[in-house]
Amino acid sequence: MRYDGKKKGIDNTVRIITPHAEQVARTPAGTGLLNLLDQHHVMPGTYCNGNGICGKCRVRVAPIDASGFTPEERGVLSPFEFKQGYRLACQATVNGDLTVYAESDDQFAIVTAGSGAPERFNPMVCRELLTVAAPTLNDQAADADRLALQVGGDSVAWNLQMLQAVSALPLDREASLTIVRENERIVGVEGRPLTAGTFGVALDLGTTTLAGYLVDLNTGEQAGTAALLNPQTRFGADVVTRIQHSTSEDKGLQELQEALVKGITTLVGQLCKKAAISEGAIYHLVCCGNTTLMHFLLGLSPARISNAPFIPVTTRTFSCRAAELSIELNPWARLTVMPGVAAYVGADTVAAVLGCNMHRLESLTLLVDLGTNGEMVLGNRHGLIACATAAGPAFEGAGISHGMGSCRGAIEAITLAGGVQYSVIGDGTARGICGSGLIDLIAELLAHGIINKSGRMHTPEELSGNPLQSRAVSVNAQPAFKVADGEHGPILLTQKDVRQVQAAKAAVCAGIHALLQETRTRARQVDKVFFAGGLGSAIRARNGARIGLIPEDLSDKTCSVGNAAGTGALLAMTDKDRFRQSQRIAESMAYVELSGAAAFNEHYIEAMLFP
Amino acid sequence: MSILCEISENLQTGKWKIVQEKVRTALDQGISVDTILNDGLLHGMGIIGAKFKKNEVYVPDVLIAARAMNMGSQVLKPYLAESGVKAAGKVVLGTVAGDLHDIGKNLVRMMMEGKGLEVVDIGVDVPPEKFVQTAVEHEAKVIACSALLTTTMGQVQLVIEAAQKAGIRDQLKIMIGGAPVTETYARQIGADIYAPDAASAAEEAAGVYMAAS
Repeated sequence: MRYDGKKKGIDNTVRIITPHAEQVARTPAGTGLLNLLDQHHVMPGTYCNGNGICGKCRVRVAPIDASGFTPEERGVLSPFEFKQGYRLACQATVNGDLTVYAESDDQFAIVTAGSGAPERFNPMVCRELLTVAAPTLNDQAADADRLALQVGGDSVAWNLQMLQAVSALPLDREASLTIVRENERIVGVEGRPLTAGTFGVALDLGTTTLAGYLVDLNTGEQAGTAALLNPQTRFGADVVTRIQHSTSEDKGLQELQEALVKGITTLVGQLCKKAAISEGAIYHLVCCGNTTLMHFLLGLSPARISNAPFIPVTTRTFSCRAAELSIELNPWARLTVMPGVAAYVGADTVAAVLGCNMHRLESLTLLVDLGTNGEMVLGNRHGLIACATAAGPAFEGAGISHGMGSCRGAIEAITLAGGVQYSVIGDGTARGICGSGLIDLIAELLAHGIINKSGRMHTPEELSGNPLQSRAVSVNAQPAFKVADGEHGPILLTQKDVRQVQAAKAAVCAGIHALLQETRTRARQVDKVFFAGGLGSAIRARNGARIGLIPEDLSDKTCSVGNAAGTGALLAMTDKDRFRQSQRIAESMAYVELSGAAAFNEHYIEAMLFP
Repeated sequence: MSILCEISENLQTGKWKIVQEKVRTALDQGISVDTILNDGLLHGMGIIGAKFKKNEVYVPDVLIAARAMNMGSQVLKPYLAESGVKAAGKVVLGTVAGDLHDIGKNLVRMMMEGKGLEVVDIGVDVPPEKFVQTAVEHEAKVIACSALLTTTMGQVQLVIEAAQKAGIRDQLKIMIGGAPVTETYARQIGADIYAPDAASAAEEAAGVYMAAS
């Protein structure tokens, strides 16, 4: 039988062009475009896991072939975009030779710096020199027993790996060994003396961003930080979409775990390279993140987390060898997952409490993470209470027509007094608006009479006499405001965008209200407000209050604690006592379930209005 | 402004005390219950529904308008039975099992009542059999399922299967809506109607009964 390699349509040439690179791919006809881009490390971004809803994976394709357009694309792309050849990568398939123009969201202005540094140094994992006496006819104790004798009171975790390692050591004579200690247990033994460094990495595994902190576990000194986008975003921007993927696809859970492990491996690799050490010098990974992410890390199915009554498999702290999760560091390297509280208040929230130290303060403190999951904690040394308000990703750009994450090209600050003035991340041409810019913008539009208290945007006709009238436009029969001329056309804020922000800020406001109500406290009794996370370091609290995101009484008490969760993981790694504190925090923290709480719903709706 | 117009306008701005007053006045003037309901109350809710679809008004506005409609309807209630005015049709409405999202479902209820439909709201976290049982009990021709999470969307398929098992699938229209739901998905699982928003849900449900009559 003759094989005809040039079967019709079998191999198409696709040129993939991004702002910084050009690649050529050969792929069979029918290949999904999003998959192809992903294989070539071009991630146009998808919030909805490729279901054709969010529109974030739009790319321009030439030549234009209208025959493949799906109903989803018709629902998301505008006629103008169709004419220009835009497609949704998740809907398009390769059908003939193509050129694809894609933006790749890189260089996020990621916040890695926390506000704390370890004062006490007493790491959970360390290495020590040990001398084991030679055996004699008078002392015929087995190798394992002679070793155990040397470590005194601490127990040795005798497992197969340990036994096999001991059997390979030169224990026929007096031997200098290095043991690896995790808290009060010996979990590893090495033949070579203590020469290469002992390092650990504290990891904050965020839904969107992974951040890592490299620490020298001999001295306690920080040796580097790095961050990158969580590769799991390929399967959706939010945890529920990822949970859905893990349950609906055969290898879904495996794919999600592998993507996360790949991200961790890359991140650790970057830290090692910067510090000129090898991965073999890493002996501890301490991980925090939301409960769903911790499940993905450990390969646990989070299936019961997303549906009522929202039950995780575990929220306990857990430790194992990093190698068991296919994370290749020193063979004896340990991985610790910090404790969490509930399905929606996870190890990251506990780590953030530890990191900002509110559990030891006398001041009544409110910690708020302004991200998608809207976790917040109220309390102090006398007690802590938490909730999660599912604010949604509006502040990260999702669902906002020209919204984007805080990366190059994002309008991050804006004022309208005396004309529109804004600043862009990276100082180039504006591509869209990120969370902090969005909050500024809504506050300003309210102040300048473009939006009324119920959130309705005025039409151009209604704005006669208003100096900003020329910026009021109409799009799809709905009012919009032209913010700036962007790279690909005008950057607008539409009426629908305003509604999205109303919903998001109402959730945060109602969450704060729920915690205050639960503790019978008034806003003005709160002494400090800590904002955690990326948006937290950029937001102007004043504008947050102006749009009703936070109560007015709190607007002058805020400060950013940066990546408090990362700081907390770092503290836990470098101080056993702090780690124990994190366990106590997790055990004692009260949790308020807001889903289905009538009082929360009522307040949530009221809070949609602008103050 | 005619009294009916005043009822509609005040309903739209949520002024329920005035709505109640004006409804009483209209009754005193001898206007039929039917007319007050349709051209006064439902007219106002209809405008709110259309504006909500265009984002011209938002959730809080719909809620206060709905409250005004309910308060106005309360005044009419004693007269409705004797005047023979009946609901346009009955809809069984709920959020599917495992899902506690309430507000979206409530908006659908308000919009449907705004079209003169009688809504049997069975709440949240509703098992598939309950949707079907309730439809049978109330002889409703429409089951409307709200699913607000990608992980609970699959429940609607179970509702459809439960209806088949109960032998009433052909007598019903099953409608599905909620943020993660798409037209494609609705078709894939065999739902009859996909509603992208609360106002559309109400239109479609009303449409089922108009077609049947």
